[in-house]
Amino acid sequence: MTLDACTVEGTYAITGGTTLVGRNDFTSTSTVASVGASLYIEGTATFQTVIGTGITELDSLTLGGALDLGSNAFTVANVDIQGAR
Amino acid sequence: MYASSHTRRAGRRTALASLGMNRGIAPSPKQRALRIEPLEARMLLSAISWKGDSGYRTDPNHWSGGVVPGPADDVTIDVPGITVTVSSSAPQSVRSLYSTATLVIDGGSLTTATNSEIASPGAVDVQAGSLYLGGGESTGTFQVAAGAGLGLTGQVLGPTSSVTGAGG
Repeated sequence: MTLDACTVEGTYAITGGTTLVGRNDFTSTSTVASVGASLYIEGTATFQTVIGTGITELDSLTLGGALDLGSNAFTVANVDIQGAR
Repeated sequence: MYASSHTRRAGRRTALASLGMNRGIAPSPKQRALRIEPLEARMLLSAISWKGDSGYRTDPNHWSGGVVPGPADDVTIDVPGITVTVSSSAPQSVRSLYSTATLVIDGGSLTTATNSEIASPGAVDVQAGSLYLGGGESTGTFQVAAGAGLGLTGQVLGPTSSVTGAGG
């Protein structure tokens, strides 16, 4: 799936691979629901909340809320956490 | 800065002279020849709506006017509860789409060029192939099977919307 310059106010969940191009804003819960799923961001994405088990690949991630990845490792090139750490 | 009236007059004389049109000199027949400029291409946009119960997008009997909509058409499928199936190996496109039905993509691709809306209770189920939506605001749901594609550009997915599935 590819999202480009979208605003997601509802629920967003992936179990496979998703590419975010350009700026995307997620104002509700986003779930990366299965191990092996990946979220690749070419632009900037702002998440209010991300709950995931399979994020492995991020270029840029801006969080206004919480990021819960369980015990899964992931790599982020540029991180800007605006909320509580 | 404004040019002086002397400068403007001199400029006008120079321009007229370059055209051989100074006062007292008649334009040549070549200069009087008619010029024909080609018109730009025009695209006739039309609004086309779905008729009747569930069916396939490529069935002309389901469309107002009896013609399957194409790239220049604004399409409305405002019949909640029905299923419209897109099943083609060839790429298909429309200008815009408004749908309250369930749209199933089970092959090929469907692309909208501009503002499109999947309105609740409308839904999209991409089982195979791909759906690409231009801008707009949707309140319906999107389900994408493994290996299938969903591309959203400039869409606002409202609070009642959801995007789920594996995708390609």
